[in-house]
Amino acid sequence: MGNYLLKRTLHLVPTLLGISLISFFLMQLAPGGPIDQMADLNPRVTPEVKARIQKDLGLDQPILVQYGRWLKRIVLFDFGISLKDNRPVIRKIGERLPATLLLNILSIGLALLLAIPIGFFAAIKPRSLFDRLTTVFVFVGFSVPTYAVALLAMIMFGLKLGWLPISGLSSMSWQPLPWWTKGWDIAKHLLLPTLVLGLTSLAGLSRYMRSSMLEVIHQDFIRAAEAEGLGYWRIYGVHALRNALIPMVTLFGLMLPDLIGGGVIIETIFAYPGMGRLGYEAIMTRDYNLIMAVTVISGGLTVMGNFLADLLYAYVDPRIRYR
Amino acid sequence: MKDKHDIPSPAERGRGCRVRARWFIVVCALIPTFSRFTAGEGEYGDAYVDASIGDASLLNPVLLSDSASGDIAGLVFNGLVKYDKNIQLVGDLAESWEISKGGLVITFHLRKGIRWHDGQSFTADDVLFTYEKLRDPKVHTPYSSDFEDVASVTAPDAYTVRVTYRKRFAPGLASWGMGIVPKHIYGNGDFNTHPANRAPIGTGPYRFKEWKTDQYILLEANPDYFEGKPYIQRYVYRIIPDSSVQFLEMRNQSIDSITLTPDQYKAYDAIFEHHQRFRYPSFKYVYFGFNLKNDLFKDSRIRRALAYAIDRQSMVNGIVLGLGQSITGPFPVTSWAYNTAVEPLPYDPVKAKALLAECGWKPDSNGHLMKGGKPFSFTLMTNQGNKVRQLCSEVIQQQLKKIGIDVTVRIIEWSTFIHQYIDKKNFEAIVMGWQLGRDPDNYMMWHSSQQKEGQYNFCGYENPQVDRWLVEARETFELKERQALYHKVHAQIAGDLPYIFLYCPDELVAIHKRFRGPEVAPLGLAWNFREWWAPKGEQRYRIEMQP
Repeated sequence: MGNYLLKRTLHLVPTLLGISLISFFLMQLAPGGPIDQMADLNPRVTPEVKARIQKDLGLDQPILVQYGRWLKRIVLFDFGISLKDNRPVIRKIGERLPATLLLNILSIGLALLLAIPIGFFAAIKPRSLFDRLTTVFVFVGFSVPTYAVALLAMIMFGLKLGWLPISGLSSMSWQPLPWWTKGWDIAKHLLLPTLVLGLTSLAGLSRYMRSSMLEVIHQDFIRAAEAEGLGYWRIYGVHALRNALIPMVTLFGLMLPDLIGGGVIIETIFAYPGMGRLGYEAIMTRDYNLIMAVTVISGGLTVMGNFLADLLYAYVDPRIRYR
Repeated sequence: MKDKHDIPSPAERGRGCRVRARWFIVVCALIPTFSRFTAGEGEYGDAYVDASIGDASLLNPVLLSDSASGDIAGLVFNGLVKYDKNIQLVGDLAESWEISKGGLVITFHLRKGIRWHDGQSFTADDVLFTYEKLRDPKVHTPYSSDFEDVASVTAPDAYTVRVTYRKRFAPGLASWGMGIVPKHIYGNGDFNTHPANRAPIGTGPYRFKEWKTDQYILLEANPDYFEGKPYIQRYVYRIIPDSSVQFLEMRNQSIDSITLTPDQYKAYDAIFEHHQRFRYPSFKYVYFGFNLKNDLFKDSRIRRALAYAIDRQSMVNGIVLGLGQSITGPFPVTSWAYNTAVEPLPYDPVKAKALLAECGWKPDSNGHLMKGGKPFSFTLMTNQGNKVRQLCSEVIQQQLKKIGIDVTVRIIEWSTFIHQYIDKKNFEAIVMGWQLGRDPDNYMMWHSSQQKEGQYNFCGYENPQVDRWLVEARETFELKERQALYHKVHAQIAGDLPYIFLYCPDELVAIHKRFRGPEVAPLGLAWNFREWWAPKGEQRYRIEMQP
């Protein structure tokens, strides 16, 4: 096992290097550059001024040289400064990370919490009323665009009923408040985005769970368990469920980058200060350093997620052994 | 995404609260205005919650280039001069100024007793420092070109600044509307990355208090402001990136000010139960431009014919729901440079066809215009992500089809469009827009010397007379003379038609009804924000006053 861990860890290095190399070049292929925000069709910015700023930022160098410089910095965990507001990239990410993690852990948690029982019960009684109802519900949730659900929810709970705030992460507080009031305020702001994000990702997850469960309950060992006269809950709730969860572990590993990736649409609609908006705006403004930092971090997490899923396999499936 | 050229000049950032610092004339009929109030009767307190699509980036007037940063910097900083409500330059940090030596020297007399928000005194040293930074090659400022003709800036004493120009440059005066930054804060540190760029110290009516990235920026009234403390105690700039969500927040009364789209503006009155709508002409226009080096458009009669074939009024009615006006020339409609005597070309497809026939373009049996066996067809390009320009292109396509011209519309991603097509003059015709400054100087767009790659006369307009007038207008400080020159420029360009000027859209804004004071002027709406107030009984936010 220790040997395997070491081997896998060493594998991470070329993988990450490859990810960074490809994304660096892809990014440079996109038309335009970071100075354009300031300079495009702005008659005050003469081509000379543009060239001078570009040179000062080292953007006039050949791409390979730029990549080399970037790599040299990154080894020391220096992600550079954002070309939009001249702040360290790592600080900008640090500001967003807690908010993003909070929202995504809550919504993925909610989705898993609902998806596993829904898939489970739908599978052990296929084509029952419950199965049909949840199928319809889940597919509606899957098909309706997130922004539509979000806007409708805002109109309903924010505007008409006035129960919840419409957007943002917290209310403006004019005086110091005790922590519970602040916590309650943030909770109220989080409720709608969590529900919308959680319910829309529920669909896929619960279908996976259902089909994986269906596959398991038709296998010989379940029949054998039934023949042995084991109790209903012991067969389905323990033996079948444990086996059905194996594919979910893969999915869970793949969801790890989602934890920090964030959703651009949901964050934009709810005016939520998360990573999705940060990354999107970085791409739109060609903020190279920030794009690279976000890509490398989420690339790293994807690789880590796969790794973690492999390790979890060994735990949930005793047949798998790593050497 | 925002158009990248929506960049206000420093002087026009002057008084910018929401309303994105736009300033225009009262041409349009306003919905019942508030009863006028006289200064001194206002009540203090309350907060004003503004909403913005994007967050600010750098709260430093020398470095910023986006409108959100400009909005905030306009409230925190002052320039030496500013525009008054009628777009005339008046003193701001400078009490007065003299222009001498035939326009080569401007001497500013600074107000005494002004303090930075941290209590330090404001002096000529700060002006010198700001100027040094504007000219420092290490500083990433988009404004250095405004100061290129400056030979020297000196301070004979602590309250006098003398600027010497190499040549007469009338727009130079307005460039001193640039926000002045404090020397004692920035000192010798790195200007581009200084922490004060996120926690600015200025001289303006509002002090910076807090900035939660991509959530809100909070400002607090400056009790020591040299023109008097603003009535509204707090200014909150909320970042709400989606405009339909902004609209919901407005209906919920959680924001006090919002920029509306034309269809939002035209929504039921009941929706604006708590908000007052304002409309006024913007400093923008949309145009249909030609590549004048292209054989198809070389002949000005052809361009005139196309102008006759396009019904601009129906364009205004259809695309911005009537909330705009068709224009004839290259200046903002509300500017003193705009020549109202120029007659617009009427919509007259018959005349268009006749003119085209004169140039040899005759319809074939299918009605397609042909000349020498070739059909009249061209590609009309515009950038992606701008719905209005896309619609304009489609309307042009349809209207020209009626007279037998085949137009292909091509929509291209912004960066590619600018760098591969516009900069390289690799286009036949385009639909684009300009956001203009308060000073009417548009030498960069129309002078024949400005045609190199990356410059702004990309249509290739060349008229020696216009060249002369543009240069002369740059050297003329006297307003009447300068106005006469720009009127000539306007008339000439309207005749030459390098662009077919389509229309100027209105700015559409809603502001909460509890605020007294908003008044549309040539400069726009927010020019007197410092004097806005809400009666105690209607105030929505209770704020404990700090000493």
